[in-house]
Amino acid sequence: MSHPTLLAELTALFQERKEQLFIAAIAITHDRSAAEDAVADAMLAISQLERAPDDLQAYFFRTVRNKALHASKASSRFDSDSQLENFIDTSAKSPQQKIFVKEMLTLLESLPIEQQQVLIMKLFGDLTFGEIALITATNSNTVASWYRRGLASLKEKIHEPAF
Amino acid sequence: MNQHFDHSSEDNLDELEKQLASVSLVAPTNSYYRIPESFKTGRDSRTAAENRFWPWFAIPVLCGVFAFGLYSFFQSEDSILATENSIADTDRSSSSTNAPDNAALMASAPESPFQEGTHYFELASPLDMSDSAATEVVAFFWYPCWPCNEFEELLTDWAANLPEGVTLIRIPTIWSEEMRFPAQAYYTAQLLGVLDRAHRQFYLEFEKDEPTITGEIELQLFFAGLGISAARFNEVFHSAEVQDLVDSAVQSNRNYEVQATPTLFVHGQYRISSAPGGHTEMLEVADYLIDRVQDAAAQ
Repeated sequence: MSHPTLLAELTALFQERKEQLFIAAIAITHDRSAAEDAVADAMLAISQLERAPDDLQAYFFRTVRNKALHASKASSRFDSDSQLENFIDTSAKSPQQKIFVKEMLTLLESLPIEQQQVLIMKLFGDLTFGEIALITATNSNTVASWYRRGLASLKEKIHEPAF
Repeated sequence: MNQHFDHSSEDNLDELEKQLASVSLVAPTNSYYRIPESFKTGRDSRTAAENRFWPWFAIPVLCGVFAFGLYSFFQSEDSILATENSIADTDRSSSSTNAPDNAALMASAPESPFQEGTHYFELASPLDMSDSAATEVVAFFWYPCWPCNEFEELLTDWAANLPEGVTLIRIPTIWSEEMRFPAQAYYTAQLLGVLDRAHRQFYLEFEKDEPTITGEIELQLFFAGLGISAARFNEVFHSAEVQDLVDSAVQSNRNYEVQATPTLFVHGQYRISSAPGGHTEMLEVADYLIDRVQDAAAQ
């Protein structure tokens, strides 16, 4: 039987952080349904604990990340538009813009996972460094460092000659 | 080159940021926002049919079940905890599944968040740590290694918050003669008492593609910048003490069979070389294994 206080706290936390939880998951899975499943699975898994973790919020984000990693369908091959549309909002994008997005996602895949996820959460998800620090259980300086290096690496890769 | 990127812009980094910021993630579906019914009622997952018949079964079976339950309770030391995946799958398809098998749940241990073979590896020949008063975490690093540079920032923050009874030891990785020099620089800084000012800077100075310290002269100039005289630097850099420390590091590399950097070893029993969740997760795995080592020692 789930602890009613834990359920209430978990529900309140989900209501407060549902956007960040989804973005944290989709930054790993690159797929909407897999991201939703990761958050739901994490929530249900935590609800079955006998007692609440000391830091429920951090535990929730960490569990979401683990679930997302296990369910990751991350792929640089967005062969069909429907695959891309389960990750990126392409409703207002022209065919050329979609090609640009696909190429950027391919380059992102080559970055270290921390830089990759921070760039997705910051640029595509519009989260602040503070929110990302919460999700990744680090501090804003580290997140900012990953962000700067990730952008610099992307810039280098864009200017690399294609053979 | 990416033909869709505007190369004519003078500040390409800002332009890249702007172009990427115009991209947004897809929104979750409406079903994402729905709270599961079981959360609202606080009841565990049972089918509607079982719920309807519960009152009718209660009285006739209660006496027999009660006696069996008392016997089982005193026999079993495990608490009833569902494994994460099995209960999640059961609850998400609530119309089709039966209630979790309580006997199986009682028998199963709580599932750990990290798996051997994925997040960490048990050493085939654990080291003898009986002389160690604390739970030791050993971090092998190499200054020219950029992942080590990135990991160092997290490691430093993590080490500053270690609980009592846990200690972090950094050891330079040495697999070849040329790797002795950065290790010698590390131990020289340690003995001169300037390691806190030198260590992070060494990652930049020994950077793989464009190092600024390639020999003893540049190293001596580096220490001069920290206020260490040439004479004092030479005295320590060429000392038997530093040589012993470097030789000891070589032996440690062999004992631990270090294969990659950065790598963590927890109390001579577990190796963490990487984790699916990156450097941050490596330290979470370390926390988990420290707890495991300390729990085992306490029993």
